[in-house]
Parts: sequence; structure tokens; C-alpha cells
Amino acid sequence: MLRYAAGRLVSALPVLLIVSLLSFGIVWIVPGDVAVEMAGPTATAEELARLRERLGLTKPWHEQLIGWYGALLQGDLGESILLRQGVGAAIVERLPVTLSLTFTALLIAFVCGTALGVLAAVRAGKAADRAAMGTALIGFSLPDFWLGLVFVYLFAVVLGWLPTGGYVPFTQDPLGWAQAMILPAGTLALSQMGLFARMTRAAMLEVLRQDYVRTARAKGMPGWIVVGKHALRNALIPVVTVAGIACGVLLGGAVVIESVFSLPGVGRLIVGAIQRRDYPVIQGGLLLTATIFVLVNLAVDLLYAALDPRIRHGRR
Amino acid sequence: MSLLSVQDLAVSFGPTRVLEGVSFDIAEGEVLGVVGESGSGKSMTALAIMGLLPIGGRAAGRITFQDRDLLTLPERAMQRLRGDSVAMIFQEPMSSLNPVLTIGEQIAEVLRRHRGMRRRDAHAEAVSLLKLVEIAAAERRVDEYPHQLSGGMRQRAMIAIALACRPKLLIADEPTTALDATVQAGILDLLRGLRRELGMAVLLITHDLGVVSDICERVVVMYAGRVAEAGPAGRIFEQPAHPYTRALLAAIPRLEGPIGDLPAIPGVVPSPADFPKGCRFAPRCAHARPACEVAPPVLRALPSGTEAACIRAEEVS
Amino acid sequence: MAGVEALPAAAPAPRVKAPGALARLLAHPSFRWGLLLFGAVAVCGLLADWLAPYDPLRNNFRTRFQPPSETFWFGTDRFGRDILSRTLFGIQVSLRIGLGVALVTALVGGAIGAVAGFWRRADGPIMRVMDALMAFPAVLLAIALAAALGPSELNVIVALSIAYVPRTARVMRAGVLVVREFPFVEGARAIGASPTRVLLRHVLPNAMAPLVVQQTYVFALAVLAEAVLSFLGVGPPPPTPTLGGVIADGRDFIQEAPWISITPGVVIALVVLGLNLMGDGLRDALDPRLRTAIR
Repeated sequence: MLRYAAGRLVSALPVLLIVSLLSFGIVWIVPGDVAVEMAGPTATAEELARLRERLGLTKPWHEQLIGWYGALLQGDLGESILLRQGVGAAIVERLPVTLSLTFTALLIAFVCGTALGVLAAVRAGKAADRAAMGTALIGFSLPDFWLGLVFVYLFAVVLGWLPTGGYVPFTQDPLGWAQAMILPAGTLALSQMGLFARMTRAAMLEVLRQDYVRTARAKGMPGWIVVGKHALRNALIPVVTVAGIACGVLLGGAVVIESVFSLPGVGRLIVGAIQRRDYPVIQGGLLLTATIFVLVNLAVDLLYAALDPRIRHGRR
Repeated sequence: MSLLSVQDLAVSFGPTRVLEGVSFDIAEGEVLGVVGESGSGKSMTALAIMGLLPIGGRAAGRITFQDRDLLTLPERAMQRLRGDSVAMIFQEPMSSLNPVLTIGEQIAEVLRRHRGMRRRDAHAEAVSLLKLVEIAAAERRVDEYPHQLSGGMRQRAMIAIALACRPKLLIADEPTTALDATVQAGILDLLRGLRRELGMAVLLITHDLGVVSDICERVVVMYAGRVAEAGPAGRIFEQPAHPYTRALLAAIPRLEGPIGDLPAIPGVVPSPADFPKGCRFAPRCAHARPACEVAPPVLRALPSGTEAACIRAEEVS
Repeated sequence: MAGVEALPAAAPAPRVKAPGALARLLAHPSFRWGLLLFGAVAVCGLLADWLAPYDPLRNNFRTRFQPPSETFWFGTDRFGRDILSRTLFGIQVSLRIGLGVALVTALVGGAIGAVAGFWRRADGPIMRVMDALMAFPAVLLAIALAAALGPSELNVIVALSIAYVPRTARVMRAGVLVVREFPFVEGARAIGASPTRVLLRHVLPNAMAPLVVQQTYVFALAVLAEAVLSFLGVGPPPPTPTLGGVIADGRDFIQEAPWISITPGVVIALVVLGLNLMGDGLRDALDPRLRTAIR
């Protein structure tokens, strides 16, 4: 188990290296002068020179790169031009919002999606199956940011049940946090819920045909134990691998959902930075999001091993 | 008074009848062998008794077990019966155990379900069951996963699961087919010993007449969804009445006989969709007459001591 | 079941153009419904010049914030522009970008995946780079790239293509890895065909089915992502009417004028739903074994 974990960790390193390189490289694809684009057309020559100096643009590219990695190893992501704040600090400040949004959505998507998938598989070919799969298909066909607007209109404007947006820290007011989270997280969860439902259905149909499910029934186990314990434990193994990928999609979706629901998270920070060409924040935001993705997938691999004893013991 | 009585059992999938007119009895503590090629309907018979027919399968007739008709028993009552007084082991020990649960858990959950045992007690009982089926280092094996066990050990674990509640009837569907020859003998020895020790009845399904002669007291030979011949094992082996039984017996390799080609039965078992109208074995039978193809022959008692469904049984034997 | 799965190993994988594939496709209810939905919206978009009752760009301050009525079926926005006309022209942009991304990723991702799957030595490095690209959430990466490249329709296509290329490459690679082990590929090698020829003539045509299915889904994903980009203001520059852009126009007026945002969102949903249904139909018709492998 330890060796397996170490192996996964080592294989994540080259990916992280390329990720950091790509995050830095985003400034290289800006056509023309980055400084001009950031400062705007009204900037004086002196202002531009100062900006270039701050961004390190006066140095040759390889020195820029070495400088980026040098700072990175010390945990320094650079300075935001507009916020007059360290990029790291700006992100860390907003991270709890984004993480609670993403993981609440992941939880909703996983629980509802697998439930839908199990229901569909157990009732395969019947009306319940078609209804569940139709829900799943519609789930990942709706534009989530638009759905968010519609929900705000419905639940906040028309019905007045929930706030239109804003964030309440969990530690301050758990109920307020839940009220603020339910709409954005639910909206964000919808597309991935559909994918989880499909995956679960396919995996369950496969598993329900297996001999060990027949064994469980021959042992006199009631239906809900056969499905919920013997079949689901096995069907979840491939579904859990998708959880890592889903987490990435949700992180990306959080960017726009945060904007729709006025949540002060990393996504809104990045969108603001993109609109105002604050490149250090864009670089740091990209790097951090991708790193979270890689780490989550590492965690998923370990969870995978916990679910499947065959991997834990180094077979297969 | 028989423990299990199957009367005129028929199984159909939609319009297709895969099984019909199957009748036999098992007395308490008796070992009955059900023999036939694949496609003869012997596994379907077992699944019908367990109430575990594949989706779309419908059973008709009567299956009486301890005075209760299993075919009319509600599913909940069937669940209380399965794994308790009727247990079953399957052909593929590799795939019949759940890969993500420990052996101990898979045994213990039967005890918790049917005996209401607590977790700790059930685990302890699982260890003694593993010892009963002669698995070495049972204390260690109980917490291992199926993939850590060899094929023979897995089948022993399956038997331990089946025996957990000391069933009155054990249905064993080709329990040794997937195993190496040496392991096969071990499993059969174990089954024979356990049966004597626990006094349970065994319904042993196999295509291997060698296995039957080893441990069965009575034999039912099935062909294409019907019973071809039934009777005491000794009588069937000494004086088979049905041409199909004779052909099966001729196909057993013998150590003492001359080494030569085994007389294989020409042709294959027809599929349920195109079963012949009369005797289903007639197209492959060396003794077939036009009369054989008119109507299905009925099972009738013969002076040789067996029952056979063949209109020419006397002439043939 | 075993019989069904044992068969395809002996016969070459079904080819996209295999006779009967089209008939089977049209007989598939998912595909038919998908084609109907997608086709209906697409035709409306293509005929926007004739169907649109008003100029999508012309401001008219006398008709600001008109709710849906007989004159303006879907209402007007804060500049008095007709939502129906803007939506119809927005469809054109969405389809151009979606199709563009599907084609570019098919070519580039297909090539990358084919090389990675066919030449073992190239596989490791290529797939590490693809993994790294996949580590960025596709939408976020596309937003950043589109912003860095500057606002234009072409740049949106480029940005989205970079974001979605790894998925296509993975699917293609998986297909090639399977097909390269088929006996007829071995045969072609044995008679001395060059590796490039083996790849182009024997492997690729038989590894196409998964790619076609995947690209239908990529088309759908690109339409969704383009809407996000336009919504956030890094899509095609104004005054080009885009579906995401119209939703953004209505965002601040969701209380007073909800019709502005609702119409284009429904249209996006119909297009994406249609494409996903078509993808499901294609998947079933081309190769039922793909059921779980894709997406």
C-alpha cells in the first residue's frame, strides 16, 4: 500500500512540472507587449518601464523562468498588480469559498448521481430507468451558469426563499453557509451528477450479472443488501476514478458559478484578473487549480486502492 | 418422506420451454446426482429450486421442500430459506466470491442474517467453518480476500459459506469442473466427509459420470430439458436402459480398459428453440426408429431397476 | 453475452462507413431525436438572415426592455435590440465555433493520439503533456487562453481546441492501442508495409469510430464552453451577438427583464441536448462496446 502510494506520488511529479511550466508560459502567448496590454494605452513610457521591471520582463526568458521556479520553491507566486497584494495571500484568502463550493457540489453530484444510476440499473429498461437517464442527460446538457441565473430568479426573486448571492463562512453561521451554498453547489453539481449517474448505471449493469451477486442471493441476502453492499461496492470502483476528473470540471465550473452568485472565491479572483489582465494572478490561479486537481486525483487513486483489495495487494 | 420433491417442473423463457416434465425426489441425507451435457437443463433445475432463475425465467409445476411449495412461496420467505436450510455452491469459485469482501465477512454475513449472530461471534464461527472445510491457517485466511486464495481454497470457502447454517439440502452445481484434477479429488472427498458428518442431503450436478459413481446413491440423467433415465447409481452403471445413458457411460475414460478412441456421441444437444417433437435424443440415437419421432416417450419403470424414457429400452439393453 | 464479446476480436472493428451503419443510425431513437433537435436549431441559425425579424445590432431606445409580445416574440434588451434576432445570429456563432473546435481537435488530437498509440517511445512524453493539459479545468484554461490571445472568434476556437485536445487524443490513443493488435495489422507488418503506411491505411480507418463519437460530445462541450467565454466577456468581441453574450446582457436585469437571459439559454440547452443524443446514438450504432469507455 505504501509503495503504491509512493509510486503514484512520483508519477505525479513530471505532470506538476509541466503544469507549472504551462502556467508560466501563458504570458508568452500574449501577442505584442504584455506591459502595454496590462497598463492600457494611456500609460506613459515611465509607467511602462516600471511595470516591466516589476514583472521581470526586462530579463531574458530563461532568467524569467528560473526566477519563477526559484520563487515558487519558496512558496512565492508573485505580486498582484492590481490588488497590491501577494498572489499567494490573495488566493489563500479566497480558497475556502471555492473549496467549499467545489466539494459540496462534488458530494451532491456523487450522492445523487450514484443513486440515480443504481435506480436506473435495478429498473433497467423500465420507466424509472428512462426517467433517471433522461434526467442525467438533461443535467449535463444545460449550461450551468444560465441555470444559476434561472434559479436565482426563481428561488430568490420570485419565491424569496434564498439569498441572491454572497457567502457566509461555515465557522460563522453554518445555517447561513448552507443557505448560501445550496443554489450554487446544486447548480454546479448538475452536470457531473449526470455523468456519475451514467457511469454508475453502466457499472451496476455489469456487476449485477456477476456470479458473486448470484452467490449473495443464494445466501438469502435481501435485495437491498445484494444491491447496496455486494453490487455497489464493486460498481463504485470505476465510478470513483471519475470523481477526480469530475472535481477538475467542477473547479472550472466554479469559476463562472462564483461570478453568477457573487461568491468571493478564487474563480472570481481569476475572472477579475483576466478581465483586467493581471497576469501574475492568472498564472498563480492556473497553477493552483491544476495542482489541486493533481492532488485530488492522487487522493482518488489511494481511495481506489482502499476500495479494491486487488490493487492494495499489488495484483492487477 | 422425502426432503425435496420436484414434480413435473417446467421452466420457460417467453415462448421457449427449456425444461419440462422434470420430476425427482431426494430423501433426507441422500446424495442425488443430476447428470447431463451442457444444455441439458440441469443447472436450470437447480436455479429453479433456489428461486434464482435468470430474469424472464418462469417455473411451473411443484417443488416441495419440507412440506412447502417453493414455487408459491413469497420472495421474503424464500430469502429466509436460501443459505439457511437450502444452500448452493457454484461452478466457478474464481468469480463466485465477492472480490471486495473478506472471506470471513462473506461467511459471517450468512450467520448474522439467518442466525442473528453478533459480529464477533460470527467471525469466530467463520474461523471454525474454515477449519471444517480443512483450510490451513484459518485464523489468517479468514481476513484475506478471494484473490489471495487458490482456486481449490476458494471452492472450500464457498462450501464453508454454504454450510454456515448447516443446511438440510446442499445443491452443488459442477463444484469441481473448474478445478485441477488433483484438487477435484480433494473437494469431492471433503463433500463426502461433510455430508456424512452433517447428515445433509446433496443434489450434485455434474456432467462427469466418474464423479457420480464416486459419491452418489441415486442418479437422474437429463437430456435436452427432460429426464432420460433415473434410478439407483449401481443399477444405472451396471445396466443402463436409455441409449443416451449408455453413450455417456461409453464416453468415460477407464484406467483398465484398452487405450483407444473414446466413442463420442455424434452431434450436439439441440437448443430449446428447435427441440424435436418426439424423443429429443432420437436425431443422435443409433437405435432410433420412426416411432421415436412421433411423441415424447414417457418415463417408465423397467425390470432392470431404473426408470427410462425410451420406447425401445428393453430391446436396447 | 460471451458470444457477443468474442465476435469482434475475430472480425475487424466496424468501420464508420460500413454499409448499413447509416440505416442503423437513423433507426436509433436517440440519434433521430438528437438530429431533429440539433437540426431544427441549426436550420434556424443558418437561415437567420431570412428568419430574423429585426437587425440584431440596431439600437432602438424607444423599444428598451420590451417584454415578449406580438411585435417582439422574445422581448428586447436594454438597447431595445430584439432578443429573437440576436439569438438566431448567436446560433451561427455557436455552431461555427463548436464545429471548428470539433474539427481542429479531431485533426490535432487525432494525430497526437495516433502517434502516441502507435509509437511506444513517443507515448510516455506525449501523454504526460496531455495529462498536464488535462490538469487545468478545460473551461478555466480556455478562458485564460482566450483572454491572453485577445478577443476574436478564431482565438476562441484556438483556446477551446487547446483545452479539449487531450480528451480527443486519449480516445484516439486507446482506439489505436486496440486496433494495432488485430491480426490484419500484424499481417500488413509481416508483408513489409512501412509503419506509416500501416498506421494510415490499416490502423486509423479502423480506429475512427470512437473518434467520431467523441467529437460529437466535444462539439457539445465546445458550444457550452463558448457560451461561458462569451458570458464572461472573453468570447467573440461585441457587437457580435453570441448566446452567452445575450445571457450576460440580461444578467443585471434578471429581476426586471428575465426574458433576456432565458431565451438564449434554452437554445443552448437544445443544441447541446441534440448533440449529446446524437453522440449516444452514434456510440450505440457504431460500436456498442463503447458504452462505458467514452466520456
